[in-house]
Amino acid sequence: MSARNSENPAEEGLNGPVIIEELLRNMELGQFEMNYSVLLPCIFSLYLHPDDYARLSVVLDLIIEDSKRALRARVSQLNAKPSIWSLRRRRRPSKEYKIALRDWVIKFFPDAEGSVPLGQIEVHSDLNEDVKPDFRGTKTTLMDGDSSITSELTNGVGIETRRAAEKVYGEIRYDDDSGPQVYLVTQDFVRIGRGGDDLSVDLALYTNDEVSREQLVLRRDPATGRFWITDKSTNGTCIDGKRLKKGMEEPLPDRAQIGLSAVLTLDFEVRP
Amino acid sequence: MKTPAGWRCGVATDPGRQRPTNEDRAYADERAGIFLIVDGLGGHAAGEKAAETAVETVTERLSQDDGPVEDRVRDAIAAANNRIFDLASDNKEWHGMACVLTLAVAHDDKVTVGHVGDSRMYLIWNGSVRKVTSDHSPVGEKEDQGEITEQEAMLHPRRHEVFRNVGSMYREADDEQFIEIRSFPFRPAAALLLCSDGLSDVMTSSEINEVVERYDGDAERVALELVDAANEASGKDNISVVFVAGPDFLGTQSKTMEDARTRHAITRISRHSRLLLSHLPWLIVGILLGMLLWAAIARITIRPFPGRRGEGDSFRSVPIDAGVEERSVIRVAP
Repeated sequence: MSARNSENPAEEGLNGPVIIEELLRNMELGQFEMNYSVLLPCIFSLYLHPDDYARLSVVLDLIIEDSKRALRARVSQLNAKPSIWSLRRRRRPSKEYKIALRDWVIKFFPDAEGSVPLGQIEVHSDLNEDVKPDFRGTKTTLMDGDSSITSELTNGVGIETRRAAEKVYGEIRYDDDSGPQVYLVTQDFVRIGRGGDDLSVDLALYTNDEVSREQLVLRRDPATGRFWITDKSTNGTCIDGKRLKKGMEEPLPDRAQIGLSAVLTLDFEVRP
Repeated sequence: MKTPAGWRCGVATDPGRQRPTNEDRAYADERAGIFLIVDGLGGHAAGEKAAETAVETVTERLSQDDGPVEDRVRDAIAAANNRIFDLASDNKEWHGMACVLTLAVAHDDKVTVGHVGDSRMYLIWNGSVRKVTSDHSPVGEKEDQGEITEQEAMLHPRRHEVFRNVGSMYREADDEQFIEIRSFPFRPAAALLLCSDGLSDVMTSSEINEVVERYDGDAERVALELVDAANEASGKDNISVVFVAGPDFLGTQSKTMEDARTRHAITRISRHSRLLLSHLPWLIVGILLGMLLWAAIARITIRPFPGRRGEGDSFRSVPIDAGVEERSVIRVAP
């Protein structure tokens, strides 16, 4: 998805507030609505007239810093809970506004095509990075330390790794009815349980009814990196043998054994 | 086709967009509960021969043998291995041929999986997909241990190296470093997906899940859609898929599920009670205001009847017949 829009700023020329305002406008125009959340663009390419680019080049980093702050503030504003007095809004389920990447990516470019006049700005935005890995290589068999090529080379020279892989905050090892599994935690919220047709969880355990459809929720505090746990089950959740109080968020040690309804144990560990 | 056990199965195999031949083989026998994916190695004719030999031998042995399923699976794969090895040893043109394979045998309420190499089996359950076979490759081992993420594994240059195969050397069925065996319950609401690396190398498990969760009873369509998606993504390798849906499995994004959700969403009782709850304070305020207003109006407009109070006692109302004529005498009883 790419949203493209131009702005004719004030006569005196391009300045910080104009650029930031245009970014915010572009972000709101480019939103992509889903059932439970609204995805906002998080990758912005800003094209300036070469003269503007030269003039602003020394402060571009500061503009980017301020822009990110403004974008974050706008998202918080969009996610703000409606007042309890506004009955009209309360009835409508509010969707979470979020971005696909961990942070905004903002880049400035001098316009080489001559399509952006002096004092104007053109913003291109994307919802997510286009990561379509292009593979190459041979299929080989390693037997007794020797590798032998057993299928021909496919085309494609070199691998373009445009984005470092997702950051792993922690890992959960468990052994459910499908065998031993490792779940890598790459997000700030992890809902764990049996799941169901109309209840999607992040980690759906393949096990019996003793484990609740939504057994527990892990939350990571991005500021401290610490994890918190909330029990939501019928039959109870334990941390290192100690039973949790249902519905109460409690701190989760960096390494913990989480017992689910005395049926299954999850070995949780924070990744440094 | 619905099987006696209620599984629905879809099979698809495709050479992809860059390979002249298809060295993959996909096999499903719904009645017997046998599902098999084989990816031939060795190039062109040799790879195809290895894959075909594996399918023939495995299915033949499974139909002959008796005994515990795990033993039958081991024996069948070992027999295929040794048959391929013999053929490759005896024929120069097939020298070096081998294959990787994943075999699932569904029986009673269980499934037993025998696996060698980097083809895969996924289990789909309650909206999520998980890999249940290990990849017998340096990169796959790292991924299985959680040392690298799925995306990192997909981008790894040594992705295509495998250190276990079927056919390159003589093997015993119980050789520890040969066949990986796993048995687990096959729940009616679960589904299985067996595939060659032509699918799993170009689609992440969540991308695979997106297609599978659209399943609405047509397993064949899911298999074909997965092959199409892999071709769209790259199509650089042969692609094979066997999709087996349990009798109660329904994709969370299927049309049927969406319709069911819509029906669930409009329940009059809950809607009514919610409305009543949210408006209750206003309703009470309204009633109180109404009462006050009525009291005020009543105070101003409603007054007692003027005069005659106390006089009424001297009058008595008398019923008069309709038939009384003019000037006739009306007698009033004292």
